[in-house]
Amino acid sequence: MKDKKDIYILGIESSCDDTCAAVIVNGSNILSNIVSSQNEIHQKYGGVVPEVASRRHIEMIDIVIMEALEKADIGLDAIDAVSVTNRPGLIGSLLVGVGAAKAISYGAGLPLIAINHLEAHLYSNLIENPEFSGGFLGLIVSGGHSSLYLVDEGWNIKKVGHTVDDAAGEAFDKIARYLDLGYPGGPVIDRLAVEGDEDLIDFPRPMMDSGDFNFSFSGLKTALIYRTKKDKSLMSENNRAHLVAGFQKAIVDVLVHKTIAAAKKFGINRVFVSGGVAANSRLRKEFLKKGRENNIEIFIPPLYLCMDNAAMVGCLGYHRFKKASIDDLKIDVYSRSDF
Amino acid sequence: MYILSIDSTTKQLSVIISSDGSVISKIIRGSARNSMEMIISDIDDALKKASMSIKEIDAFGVNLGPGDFTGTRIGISIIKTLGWVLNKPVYGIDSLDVFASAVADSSRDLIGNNVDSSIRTIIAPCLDVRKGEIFYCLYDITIASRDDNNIANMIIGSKSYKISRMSSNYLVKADAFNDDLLKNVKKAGGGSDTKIIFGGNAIESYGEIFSALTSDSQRFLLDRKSAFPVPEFLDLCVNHRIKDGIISEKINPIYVREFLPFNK
Repeated sequence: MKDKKDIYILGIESSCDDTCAAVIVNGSNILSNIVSSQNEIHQKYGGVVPEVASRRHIEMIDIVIMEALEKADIGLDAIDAVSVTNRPGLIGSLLVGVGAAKAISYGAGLPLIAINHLEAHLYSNLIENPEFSGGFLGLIVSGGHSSLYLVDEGWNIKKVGHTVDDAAGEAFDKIARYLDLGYPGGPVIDRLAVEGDEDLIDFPRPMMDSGDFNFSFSGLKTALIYRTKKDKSLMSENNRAHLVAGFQKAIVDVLVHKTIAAAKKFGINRVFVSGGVAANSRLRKEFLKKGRENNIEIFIPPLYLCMDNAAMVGCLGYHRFKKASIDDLKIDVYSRSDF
Repeated sequence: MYILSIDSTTKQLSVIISSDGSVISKIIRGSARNSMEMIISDIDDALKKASMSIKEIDAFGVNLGPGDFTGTRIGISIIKTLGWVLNKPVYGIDSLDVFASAVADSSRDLIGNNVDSSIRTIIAPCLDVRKGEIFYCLYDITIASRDDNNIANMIIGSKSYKISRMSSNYLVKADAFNDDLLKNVKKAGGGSDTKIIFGGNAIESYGEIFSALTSDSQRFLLDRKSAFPVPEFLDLCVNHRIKDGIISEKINPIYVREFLPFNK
């Protein structure tokens, strides 16, 4: 039974290739968190195909939302507000979730809250640690983003670094496709790398000491392709694990090194890491190790909160609802973030 | 019975409300570049014009396309969610059905005369679906009888006629349209004296092909009034589906082609 003091938010997320809906209480208690993954569909293309993603979203959106309520064992009448990702992302994907959210808001008379997907990632640590406060450095690293954000005590967000070409997850996907390993690239490379020696094949560490906090992963990908063209034996069954282990280590080293350097430069001792690539076991291990060495506290959410999900959209929705920061029914969708 | 329907399959966005088959409110936005922003306020305006609340609507209708990808998905996502939230049925209509009803209506006298004189009359809405291709379907017009399973009925004079689908949807290269059409008319049981009325935006896009057809033979006629789907005919098709008790199981867009990301 719902306590009157409790705030129930329905979160909806469809910015890329996963159709997600969640019910979350007071921004931290997840009653349901449904993710309808499209991985199998995009597998044959080795990456997300926007039109294919949009077609799948429109088929799944109502089913996923109903499932979220069913699993939470509540009706729409128990919901206090609907929050939905409207930026940044694929336009054709975003509009499906936003259309559904608007219809729920209008049909059920509920407040509508438009959410920035990246801001939702930065808030997602509050789900497991409701006392977590602003004043940290956030790294969002996924198939679409590799950016560093300064989040101050008032939760104002400022971007301090970003990738100048491919996102880290994109580099994993492209290399996995090149080596015919499957999709998504991150998890398959993570698994295969465990069997390899990461110090056997050395790769460059792009922009490691560039002085700013930007990343670049496109050249790293080219380096791997170049190496395998020069020495075909690297593609053999035996060497592939060493190859991807070295490649993964290069990405991990750059991400961790630059994030820690940024934290030191800004005098911040708390770092939060999220996004699909934050699920990478090597990255998690390295961050925790370097955090200990540098006296920086590292926060990485459990895997289901690193990946795209609607629980984080509901979490940020809750904090916006508390501040009475509500949007009107004319919200549009945007491919780019506002920060 | 109150029905609210949306058509967002073209750059014209329409919201229409009918009561027992008569239109009581309608909002048409000529060039809906911002349908995502405006769609709820257009629904709201249409309801206000009818002095109603969304909760009083008994059923929803939506044009499933084929049409503009973005527009069609916005309309479908809104309508199927509204149906679920308010626990009301949703009826999805193929845009070719909407065009066929519009063509039939604008040629009603001709159709009445033909059908009464036992001249077989077929309607062929033809859509310009880019890539040099035409998307079309054939519809038969006959005297209506009870329990017919068709897309819409039409009263002309004192008689009721029915419009029924004779085929699935066809996709053909414009330069092969002529042969394809004749082959499919024959397959549908049409003879050399069957009258065929064309509608839809392809007759403008492929003016030469259709002019050649109509100048060659009296059998072929053009209805130039139906370049855009008219919401009244979407409402007509929805009403008919409700009367027939055909509930849409899944409300998803109708696409012309399977999407192939790479040209293999």
